[in-house]
Amino acid sequence: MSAHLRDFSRFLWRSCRLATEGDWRYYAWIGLLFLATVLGVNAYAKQFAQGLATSGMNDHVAWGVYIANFTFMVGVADAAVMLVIPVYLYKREELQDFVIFGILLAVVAILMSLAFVMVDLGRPDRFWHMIPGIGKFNFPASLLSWDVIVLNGYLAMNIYICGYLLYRRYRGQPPVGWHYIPWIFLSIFWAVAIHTVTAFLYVGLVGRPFWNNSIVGPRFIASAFVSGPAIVILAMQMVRRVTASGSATERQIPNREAHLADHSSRPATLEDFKALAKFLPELAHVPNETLSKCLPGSAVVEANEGEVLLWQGDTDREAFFILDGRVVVKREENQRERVIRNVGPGEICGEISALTGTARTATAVAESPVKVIRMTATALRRLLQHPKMNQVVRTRMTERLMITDKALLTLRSIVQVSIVVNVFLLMNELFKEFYTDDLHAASAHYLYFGLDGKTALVPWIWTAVFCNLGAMALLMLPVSRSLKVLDLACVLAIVGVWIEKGMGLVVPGQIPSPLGEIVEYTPSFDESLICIGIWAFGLLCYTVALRVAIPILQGRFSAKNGDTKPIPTAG
Amino acid sequence: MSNSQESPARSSRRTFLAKSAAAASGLAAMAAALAPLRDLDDFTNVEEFLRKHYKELTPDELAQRLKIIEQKVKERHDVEAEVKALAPMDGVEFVYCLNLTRCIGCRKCVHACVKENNQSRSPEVQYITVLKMPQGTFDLEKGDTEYQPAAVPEDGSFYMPVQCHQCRNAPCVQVCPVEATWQEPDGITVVDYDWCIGCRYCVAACPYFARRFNWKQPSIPKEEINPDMSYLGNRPRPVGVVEKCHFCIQRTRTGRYPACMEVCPTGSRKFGNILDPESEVSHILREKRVFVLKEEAGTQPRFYYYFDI
Amino acid sequence: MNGDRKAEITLGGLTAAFVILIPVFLLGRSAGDIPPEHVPMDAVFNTPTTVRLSAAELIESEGDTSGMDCYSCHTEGAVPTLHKDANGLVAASTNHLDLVYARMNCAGCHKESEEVDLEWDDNDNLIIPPHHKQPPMRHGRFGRNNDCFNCHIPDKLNKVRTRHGEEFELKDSTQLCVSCHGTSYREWIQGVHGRLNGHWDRESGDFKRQDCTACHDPHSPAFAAVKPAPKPYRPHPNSASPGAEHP
Repeated sequence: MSAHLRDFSRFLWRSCRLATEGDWRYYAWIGLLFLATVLGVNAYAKQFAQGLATSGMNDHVAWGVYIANFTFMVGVADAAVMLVIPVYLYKREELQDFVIFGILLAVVAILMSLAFVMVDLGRPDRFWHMIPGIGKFNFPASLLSWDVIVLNGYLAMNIYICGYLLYRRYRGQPPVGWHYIPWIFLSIFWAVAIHTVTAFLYVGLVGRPFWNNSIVGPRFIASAFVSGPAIVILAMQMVRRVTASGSATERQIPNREAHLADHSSRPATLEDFKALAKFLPELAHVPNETLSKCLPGSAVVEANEGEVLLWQGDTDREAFFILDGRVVVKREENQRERVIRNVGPGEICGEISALTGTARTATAVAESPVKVIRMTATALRRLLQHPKMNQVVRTRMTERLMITDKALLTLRSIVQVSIVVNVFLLMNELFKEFYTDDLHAASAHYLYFGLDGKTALVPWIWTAVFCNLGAMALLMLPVSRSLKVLDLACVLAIVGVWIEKGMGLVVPGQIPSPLGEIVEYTPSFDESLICIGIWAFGLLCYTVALRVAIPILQGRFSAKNGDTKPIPTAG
Repeated sequence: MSNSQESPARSSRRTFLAKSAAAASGLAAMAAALAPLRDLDDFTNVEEFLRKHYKELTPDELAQRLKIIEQKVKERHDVEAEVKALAPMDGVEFVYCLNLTRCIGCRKCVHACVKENNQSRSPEVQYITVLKMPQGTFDLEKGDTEYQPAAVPEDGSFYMPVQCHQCRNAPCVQVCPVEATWQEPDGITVVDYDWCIGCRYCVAACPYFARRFNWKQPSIPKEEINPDMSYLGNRPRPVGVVEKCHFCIQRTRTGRYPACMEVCPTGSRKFGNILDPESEVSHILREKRVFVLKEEAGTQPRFYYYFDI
Repeated sequence: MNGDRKAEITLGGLTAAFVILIPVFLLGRSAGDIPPEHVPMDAVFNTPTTVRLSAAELIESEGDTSGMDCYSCHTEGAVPTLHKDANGLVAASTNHLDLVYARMNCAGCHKESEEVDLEWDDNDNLIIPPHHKQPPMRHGRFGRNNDCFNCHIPDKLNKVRTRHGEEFELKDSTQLCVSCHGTSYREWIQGVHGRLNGHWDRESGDFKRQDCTACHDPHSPAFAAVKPAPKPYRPHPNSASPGAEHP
């Protein structure tokens, strides 16, 4: 137990160290985010000392940008489930690595939404009144008490899931299914719950007809399914870009002439497998008879630094177990190449093509002088007849960090469907409001056309409408299979949802007031600074989380591997 | 990755120093960013931080709290106040009736309420909103709350004061996440100003625009403080909490009429115990055609409007 | 330039930015975006002492009106401006129309059981003396109740009488009103019509049902228009009434 604790604290310490390492762009980005956070903290200190009078809120519009952003961020936290569902329910393996990024995003989004609620409180010193068992908890009557439970539960659940998966990976152990799969399934249910509960915060208010509308819940879910995956698409493109090793001119992959075939090899023996078993304990369980059957297709190969074991795009059918040294696996996409893995003794590369018969998805280069066991597809299949080996190899295959275009396009189809549903639900709402045109349509009138000459929200909501329609048009057209266009569509969709579900829902719900007064709202300077500060803090957390998670997934940062140096990037 | 002129060790040492300087200055800036907290006066201390919900105070603790509040009023406003915690009376359920035929929209009730209940003068907090309605409609959006003619009533208008309706099915009580607001047995919905966290969910929930938030520290001139105070009623409120009309709990629980009714020059306002069949409000509910505002909201208010003719 | 150098420059720039921020935070305004203080307008006439005194009260106090607080409207020490009519008589300001004592206190001018000389014009209409012209007679809708002696008794000014000849002391004038206004009277008895002051719980203390003339001027019983108390103050720039317009 204490050894576990020691390992874990060492993991945390090394993660912190890793988070402070990077190139100048990393420092500039982190530094600017921290700067914005500090400005936000300063603005909040003013608000804390003077009261919420520093905000633009008033008696009539008592909820403003804080609650608007809170609502949006809860929707983003839903993003995790968007990625989890296809992976665990439909076995879409191209999204496997995304799950971690999605869950990390969910964690950060929940932290941000909790921060938005905290800054909205008039008495943050009394937050403990909301803690069940310690304070006085109005459960189940108050939807806000439900929100406290679901948001914190979701936060804990997701911290556990991504922490568990990353830590196991760091320790080089495959995750144990029943340790996390039940939580994954619970979090799918839970993610829907957090956003539905947040919608019910509004729907449950009888005095606010604009909110007291049963379509708000479904619209929240639909728009979350738009904004969440859209944010993940953009974040993953960023990750791809940052981890890409420079432009094509700078690449260090040697010429094709230095092919491995030029080098000598010898047939493998049982002794070689024994040597491999030191690094791959599961191999020790494989009886010698099975191993002997594998010997005919196996050879021991030695290669020098910089030599290529296999080429992306080739169609050979061999897999490589590393006996000694390290091998870098790189993929070239869109004229950039990215290190996707870094494998060491006991690990395997090239097994995907060997087993599936597809073309090589990446190039493997020796990082140091290496010694490997090369196996033909037939030999590898014989080895995998042993269940232990099968489990090890298959698990590692699916745990790879692979941000492929295919994965991004799978996310695109999620956004595609969701945005159509969202626009459809919006049209339902507009029909109900404007066709009947009863007194309850006043808020919608105010939002879309202004009321009594008050038009503060009109430019915003039309921006959102055009963003949503533009994003929908782009996503429906094949042109968005191009990643640049997809990025544009995602930005439009995110902006559209942010306005429509944040300011476009929270503010007009309070205008006109229950007594028919029209008092408008514009966030104050300090209020905006606080929001920017929270956003910056969230991005800071997400950046640091990715900074640690990516090397873990790539195998560069592990318990065995003391090397915490970042992946070299173009300087 | 270092220049040929310097050793990698020296370069990495310099980078380390640069990192340390950035980190240290960043943390210093973070500490300096908290400078506005200098202006905090008596926001909270450990004892205040840990105080209990009104309903969980023992009689001794309650007596002690009342003493502390009196002391604070003395410190802050230099006024000798008497703070009471009045219990609801048995067999009493308060109801308010307002005669729309008689009301002339003079807003005397608004200001009498402000004085009686020690409401903040700046920023202004008022529990009663008077709507000037054009004749021929009950569409609240056609109402005007900011009329200021030379004289009221004006032709073609009627006036409708709105304040807390003390709903039997109160949305504000339902939504409060920390039970800082609740309905007393005599029908008054009260707020524990020492327990409210200021989330303003109740403000959003109220269909009658009856709840007010203290956006900043309330200010009341010393000579206008009403020293007759109660814990759940008109004692001075701290910044960041919600308050509302409580039917002048400090008056009505000692058998007196609320201030808005006392001051009304036209007798439009009627208040009393609905459980007493001889009370004014019982007579009105029996003999007049009454209605409640936004009945479709299902809030079942204890505040009725009626017409004379 | 190599990567380390760039990193150092970046970190140096960040350090400088943070160091500059420190004095900005320490010396900068810490009040935040707070709307300006506003001086609340004093609401006049909002104590119960400023309403009319009823005839009964005036008689009991022998015309003493000290219970009324003139300074809830007027500034203490400042001389109020007087308006005079064509005859040189002081015309009561419209704000005083609801003050009974300005017109109704007979004892202020007349002695008890004083003989009053009544004058009639050629058409046999009573000539209303200039002092009594101030309260226009507006009792009843069609001027049918404008004859002083529908209620007053010419030779007994300290008494009133109903149309059936029943006589009451001036302080019991409510009984006179009742002779015509039965519905209002029933409601008044129940507490439904008119002002009530004091205690709703009759066992806890006093309770006062106001006389008719405490609120209504019997010569012109409809309420006079009054100046409303100040409207709510909305400090936020987007609100319906910008703060600048607030006096």
